[in-house]
Amino acid sequence: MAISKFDKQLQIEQLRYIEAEHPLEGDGESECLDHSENEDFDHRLWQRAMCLIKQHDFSALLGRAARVSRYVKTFALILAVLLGALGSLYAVTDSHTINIYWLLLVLLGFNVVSMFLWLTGIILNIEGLTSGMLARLTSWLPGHLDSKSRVRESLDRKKAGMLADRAWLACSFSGPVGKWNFSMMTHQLWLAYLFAGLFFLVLLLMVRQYDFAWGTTLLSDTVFVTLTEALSVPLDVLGFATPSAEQVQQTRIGALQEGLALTASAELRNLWAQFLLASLLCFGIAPRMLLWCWSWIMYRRARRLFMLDYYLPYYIALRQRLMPLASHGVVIDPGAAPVDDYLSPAPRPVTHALPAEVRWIAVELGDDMHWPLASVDVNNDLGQVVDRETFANILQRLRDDQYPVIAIAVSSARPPDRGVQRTIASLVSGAEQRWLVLLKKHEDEAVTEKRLAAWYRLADNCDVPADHVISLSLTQEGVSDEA
Amino acid sequence: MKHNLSGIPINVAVVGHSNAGKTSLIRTLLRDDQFGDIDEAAGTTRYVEKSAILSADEEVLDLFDTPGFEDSSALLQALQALSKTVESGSSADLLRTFIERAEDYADFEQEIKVLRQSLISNVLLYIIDVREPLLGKYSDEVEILSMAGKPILPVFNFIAGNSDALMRWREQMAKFNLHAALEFDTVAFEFEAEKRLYQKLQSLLEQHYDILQSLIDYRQEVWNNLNHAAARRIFQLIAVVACYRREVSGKASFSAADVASMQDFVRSAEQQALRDLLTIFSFTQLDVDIQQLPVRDGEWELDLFSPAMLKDFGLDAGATALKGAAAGAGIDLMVGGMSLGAATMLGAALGAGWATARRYQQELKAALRGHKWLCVDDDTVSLLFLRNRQLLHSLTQRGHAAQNKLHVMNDIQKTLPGRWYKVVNVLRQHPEWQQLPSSDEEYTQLQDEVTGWLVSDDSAG
Repeated sequence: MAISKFDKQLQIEQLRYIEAEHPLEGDGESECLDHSENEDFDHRLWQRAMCLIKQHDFSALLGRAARVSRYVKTFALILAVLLGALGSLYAVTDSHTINIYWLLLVLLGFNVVSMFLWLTGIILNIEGLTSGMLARLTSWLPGHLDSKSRVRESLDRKKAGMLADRAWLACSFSGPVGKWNFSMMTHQLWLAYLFAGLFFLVLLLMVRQYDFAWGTTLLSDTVFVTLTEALSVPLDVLGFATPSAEQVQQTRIGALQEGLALTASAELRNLWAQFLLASLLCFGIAPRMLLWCWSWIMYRRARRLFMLDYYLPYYIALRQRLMPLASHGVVIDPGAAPVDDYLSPAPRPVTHALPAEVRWIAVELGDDMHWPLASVDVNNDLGQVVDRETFANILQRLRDDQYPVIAIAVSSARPPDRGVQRTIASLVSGAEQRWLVLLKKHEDEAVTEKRLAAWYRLADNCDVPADHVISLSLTQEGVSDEA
Repeated sequence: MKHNLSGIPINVAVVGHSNAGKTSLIRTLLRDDQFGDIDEAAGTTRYVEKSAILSADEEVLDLFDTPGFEDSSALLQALQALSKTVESGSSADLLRTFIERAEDYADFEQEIKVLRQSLISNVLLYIIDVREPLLGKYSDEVEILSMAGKPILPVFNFIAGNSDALMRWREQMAKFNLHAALEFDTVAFEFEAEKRLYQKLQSLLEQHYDILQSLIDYRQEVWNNLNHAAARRIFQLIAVVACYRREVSGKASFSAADVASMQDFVRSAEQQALRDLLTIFSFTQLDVDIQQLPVRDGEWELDLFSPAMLKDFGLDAGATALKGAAAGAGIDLMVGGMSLGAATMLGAALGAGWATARRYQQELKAALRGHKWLCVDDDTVSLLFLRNRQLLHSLTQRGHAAQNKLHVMNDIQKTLPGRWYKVVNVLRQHPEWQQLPSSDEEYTQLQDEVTGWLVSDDSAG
């Protein structure tokens, strides 16, 4: 049998309650999911739930609350039948005279009050009124019985079962589903009560002869005459025989005693019996039946519209796993592993001073570093490499005039790359003394160990001795030996 | 996982100079801070790595992370030299010939991978670190990439606080007729920038317009859901703390044990919310760092009840505020009892009577026993709101490439929403709402109101 959407959601929610306390990471969760179809999140969740239920053998556990609920509901219905039967029996079996209005009050009075309260609750959306006492009792019983039960299961399964039951109750008896579920149950219980009352009443009226009477101490007779006339209006329309005002008066207790209606007693008995049964059908069973139908329709609708709360972190995390936004990296064109400069740092420089006749070349300084430096004599500045043209010009100058001492100024904050290394190697290739000056914007500018190691490696590759790597702060523009 | 309707996902090569932020961009788009390797050293990525962006399980974009250019000037010279020796119909053919002769150009192993990928991609995202000076090698890179004959979309990275540099780079790209460019900071993330990326791709790849639109819509929906889920989680935290009440014996002041118990409850609730918020935005607990005292093992270490916290958030630290404890408010029929009062007036003997008794039974019992209620004070609840609002703001503006740890104390917005105390007052009247989630209509209304405050730009900042 196909399982309804609501029942699927209910089981998913039961698993959520369990997983809140016992993570149930299924083995090979992804294997349970069929990625060949373009399925939505709901379907993926259900696939996962089925997988977990199967792996952990949860079928019986998750269905327990529903089973207990069915037992409780059956018990409540039996109770309602008994109450209805007892109500009828109590009202008519003490004598051979039935007090019509008392019997109507017993069978219909509380029912009408209950219906009025229920309607008020529905109109004003008051939870306490939409779920009657009997329905509330049925919802309370499973939880109560559960806490009292002694299940011979392992502790984890017992706890999981309790959590599953709690989830079942939360889904079935809260929100619109709960409201209409309660309503449906309330109407069912009243229907059971009324049908039982009607059945026993018919039974008694068939096998025993009753006289009908009514009486009052506080009210005037006209009240009951008017009441009977009012109740008779819809019954007349529906074709039931109803007593006239005169016949109502004839049935008053005093009138019967005076023997005024003896000649018409058989007809009157039949008339009142029809009135009584028709009233039960028309004012008790029919409206309850209609309300039950309405509640059933609304309940089905509420189940159809029921949504899991996908804003809960549990579902957000599941969505990220089951419906990922991205598939993650696969190397399709491998390359050599990068050299880890940090693990093989170049040797540290020793104190040294730049020679007086040094020629300066800057390589790719940042915008925030003005070149040439104030401390560099214009005659000793060969310029800055910023592109192929400037690089070619400086190379040409170096070829034209041989400079024995070359200092390359770079920004220590910028990462050296292969292009910078090739540029520097070309620039210093003809020099006898090679220097690498790491410029800092200010004395406190932080240069990481890794970055520093990368510059030393570059210096090493360009045949710049480690002790010729020095740092210079632009704020001081004095050569320091601290690198 | 499926390919899109046209059968082929859109291939996007992410290219650029080394250390420009190519891997960072992909991490942010994938929401995966474990993708690739990020390092300050040049040439961290030396391979081509493929990942895909999905729209409801459908593969829409294949992203290719490529090694960075390191010596484009030499490469361009090599290409120019090659063009003089071979006959090639187009620039792309020249690149193919160059790739075929890869063994002759061993120095350009990395660059050849970039070229190979560029030739088979639909579009190139050229990542630019705007903090870099305008050097000739970058122009050479653009010139080389344009030889592939594919649309190029410059993506300006690290733009936060570098508006002048950004302007210079825009002008530089305009010289190559690359007027359609994107500002996308992989660290200071904005979802709108991600949307603009897909929109730019739409204009560059007209034939894939619809599938890209579906991707935009899907990502927007997911983003909205995440924000909403996070805001609701914060509301639930506020609700559970504001609804907290603990029956305490005697009329004297609260004992240290009572207060400690309450504080532990609040701390635990906030830790759980923190974990959930990190889960929602796919951040690991390692991402979180709190100013002064870092988070350890995913737990706030800057104690909620420390006087410094109250001061930082501009709340008046009174004597009781330091402990966070307050005596429980009385039954406020004007607030909490609205619905119950209405029901009672209707004479609802069964349902309303049941509900009313259930609602106030604990208060009535406590009153009869001469006990009182210990609650969490207003300052603490307000502080929770402010701190978590700030956390939410930080999480939504943080790229998955961010290397610095998360600081939630910066730029604190200290203003509480206008109806804040009214909302807290209503929450206090409903201790039953501690059993979350509630389907109560009043609860839902409050949830919507507070969630609205949190997701709106005005209050998040």
